[in-house]
Amino acid sequence: MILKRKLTKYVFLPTFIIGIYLYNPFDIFLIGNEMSFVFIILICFVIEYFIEKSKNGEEIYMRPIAAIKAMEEAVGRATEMGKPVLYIPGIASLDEIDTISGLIILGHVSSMTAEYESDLHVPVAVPIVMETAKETCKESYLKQGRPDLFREDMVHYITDDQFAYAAGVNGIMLREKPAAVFFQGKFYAESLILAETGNSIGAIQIAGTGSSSQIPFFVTACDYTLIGEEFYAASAYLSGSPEMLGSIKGQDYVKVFCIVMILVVFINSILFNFSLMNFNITDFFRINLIK
Amino acid sequence: MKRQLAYFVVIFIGFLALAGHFINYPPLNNFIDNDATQWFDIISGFAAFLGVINLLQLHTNKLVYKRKNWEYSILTIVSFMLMIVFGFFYIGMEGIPRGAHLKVEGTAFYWMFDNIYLPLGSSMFALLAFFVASASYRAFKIRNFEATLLLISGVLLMIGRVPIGHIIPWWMSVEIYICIIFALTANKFSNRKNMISSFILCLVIIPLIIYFLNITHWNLFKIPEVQEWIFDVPATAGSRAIMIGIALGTIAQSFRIITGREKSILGD
Amino acid sequence: MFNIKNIFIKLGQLDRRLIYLLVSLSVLIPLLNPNLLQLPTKTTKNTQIVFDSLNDLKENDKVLLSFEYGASTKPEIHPMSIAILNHLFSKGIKVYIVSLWPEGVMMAADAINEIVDSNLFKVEYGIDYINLGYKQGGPVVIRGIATNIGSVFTQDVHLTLLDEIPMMNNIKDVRDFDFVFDLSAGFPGNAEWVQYACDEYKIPLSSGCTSIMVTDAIPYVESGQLKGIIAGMPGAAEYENLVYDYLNNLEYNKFMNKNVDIKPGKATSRMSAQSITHLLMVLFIIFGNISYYLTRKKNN
Repeated sequence: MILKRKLTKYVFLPTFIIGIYLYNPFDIFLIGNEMSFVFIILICFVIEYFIEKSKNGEEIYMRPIAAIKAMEEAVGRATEMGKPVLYIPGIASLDEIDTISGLIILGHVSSMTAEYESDLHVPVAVPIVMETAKETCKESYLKQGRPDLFREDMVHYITDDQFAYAAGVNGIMLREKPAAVFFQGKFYAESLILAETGNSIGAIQIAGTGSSSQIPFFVTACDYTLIGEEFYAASAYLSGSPEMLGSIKGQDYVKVFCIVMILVVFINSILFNFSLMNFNITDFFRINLIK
Repeated sequence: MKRQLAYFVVIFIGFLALAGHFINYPPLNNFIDNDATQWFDIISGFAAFLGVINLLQLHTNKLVYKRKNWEYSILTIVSFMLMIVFGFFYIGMEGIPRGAHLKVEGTAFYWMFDNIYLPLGSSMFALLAFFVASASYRAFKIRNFEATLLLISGVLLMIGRVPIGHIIPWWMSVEIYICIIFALTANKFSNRKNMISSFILCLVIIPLIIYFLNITHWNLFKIPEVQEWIFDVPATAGSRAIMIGIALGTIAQSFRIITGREKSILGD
Repeated sequence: MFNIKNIFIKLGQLDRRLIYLLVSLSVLIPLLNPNLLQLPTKTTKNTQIVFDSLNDLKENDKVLLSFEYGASTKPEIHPMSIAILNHLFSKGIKVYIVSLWPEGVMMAADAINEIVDSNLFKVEYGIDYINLGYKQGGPVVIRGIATNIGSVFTQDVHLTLLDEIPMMNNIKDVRDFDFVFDLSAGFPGNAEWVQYACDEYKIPLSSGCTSIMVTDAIPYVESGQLKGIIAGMPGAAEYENLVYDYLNNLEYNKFMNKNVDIKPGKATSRMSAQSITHLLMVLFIIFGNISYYLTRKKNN
């Protein structure tokens, strides 16, 4: 019965949806986006499957990520030293997924600072992010039962300009000398300026970004770095809820699928180039995300 | 109720944006492609007022109550007011319409951009040179395998990327490789005298062998070619891998948000 | 022997302020005296691909040039933009300038003014080039240019309606351009041009960007979605040299004013500074490692 339900939900249903899209009755779907639709449906159902599995009690093993474990230590260190925690949610606006991830992690960090009663300082570069960050911190402090510790000027706006923001944050670091600095969000060229200044004041630094070009700078200058998708998984990791952990497992299985596809395409390209095969699989994978 | 409404808005807009890319309904497609982003731009534009008010409030408070470092707040407020005056009121040139004066050379705003903002922006970016120097000096140490890999590729890229890399002769490249190999294996030698004598022997013999084998033209002995290979092969592979990982992470994160599972952003 | 060891250990523990001083001197001295050290610049494969792609264009072809950099990255990208504009004007190519960064408008104006002031080419606004100005929105603007340019730009930077400009006749979307060149220092950048416009409509695209962005752009170069890339200041110096040699070797060019000297660009003169600084950093790294090795041995 359970197997039948699972088969219906995770095999027949996505097949049916994909079939409807490919059949395209009454031209209700856009033409040219089939590949991206198929992959999005498959990815969503795989993630959903593992979310349900973990909700049903399956143990999900998560490899320890040093940077995430170090977050609590960093806040604890700041509390012991009586110095503030500086949290930088990147310089991009709320339409970037990195900023959203950064704000989600801010929620967890602010819970920790509320619990440990340490000072939190969040300078932001975008006004709309300021409002969201303020609400996130307020809710976290409220949830921890410490609304008295929340201050309105905890989260404040500096400037939109990239390097002026970096200069402002550097000034804050050099004057306030925070014991822990978090760089969690979207960063560009100012990343090394911020990280090196944080290093010079002796703060423990934990960075996480989806900007692949800035990761080497953070790896060099920070104590811990969340690389690539570890940053997006951090929020799930920190929450510890089975649903979130299940989604990470689903994501990993999708990655395995991508690896298999890369190998298949690689082998097919070699065979096609040496005329051992007539079918070129790369013609099949023409992705048109936007029509 | 407020929380439920927020979740509903997030879920609804998330699925609407997804539907806009796949459903063939021109008003929806147009909304998602053009209008939605413009709505966001308008909202974030108005949110700029909040930022400005917050900035002024913070610094005025600091100034009035003479909190720590209140002197810097004077500078912030004065600079802010100056830009408002030159941006909105004082043009400094005859015959230029308001609005266009921001881009026309000779106006007061353009002067401030050219003579204050431009040098300040360039100086901040130039700081990167110093920070890269101190970061590489501190971090590029043969501590473990990853740090060593970083060191070798960093050094080869730094030399290969600049014109000086092109004038390094093949034998110097060989000497550099020998130095790197001995730097990595130095602690494997039990006797320091043996290490130094092997090092000197290799420095002399290996280039001679390469010369007599007539393989001095190989790309391996040209640092710019090695640098290009590092760019084209391992760096591209790593970049692609991280891109794919980030894309998958983005999809999973977005899935959690639009299905209402990611509650931390709304404070849960 | 003991003294040499101590010297190396001390060299590996230099105060960062001394490092900053040495780096600033290594940059300043060659910049103040560019003739101090003249190093030959060899062209890399990717820069050559960009040059060849633009060189294949014909007179009256249309190129869309996107300025996406500001004051902070001007030293790296501005020399590229000057070299590109020189190359395009020497071939009589029509240049359409857009800016997706607010500062891009000023950078574009600076670049054009530099070309006009040099008197090397007889270019006229509205006939040889047009500046459509800045539009907020990033990828949305790129998408708008790709599908319907009129929905995004209605007037140029001088507030003239596009319908009144002859150069804009028959320009409806990105398919009406023969080439797109993107000068980017961040977001939106070459990836967005690939994703939202050029790859879908098969318009050749190339890019000049800061050195740090090259690793992100290389996958697109390898897959052919970007026709080469000009990487940072070394790339700018290479391109300047290519254009310099090309212009000097032209026997007759109706677009060029032969009485005006062709000057090599600024990036070329800055390469000696960059070379010395890189060498200095490599030396620091070597000393740091020797000191680390000796200190570890001492502690053991």
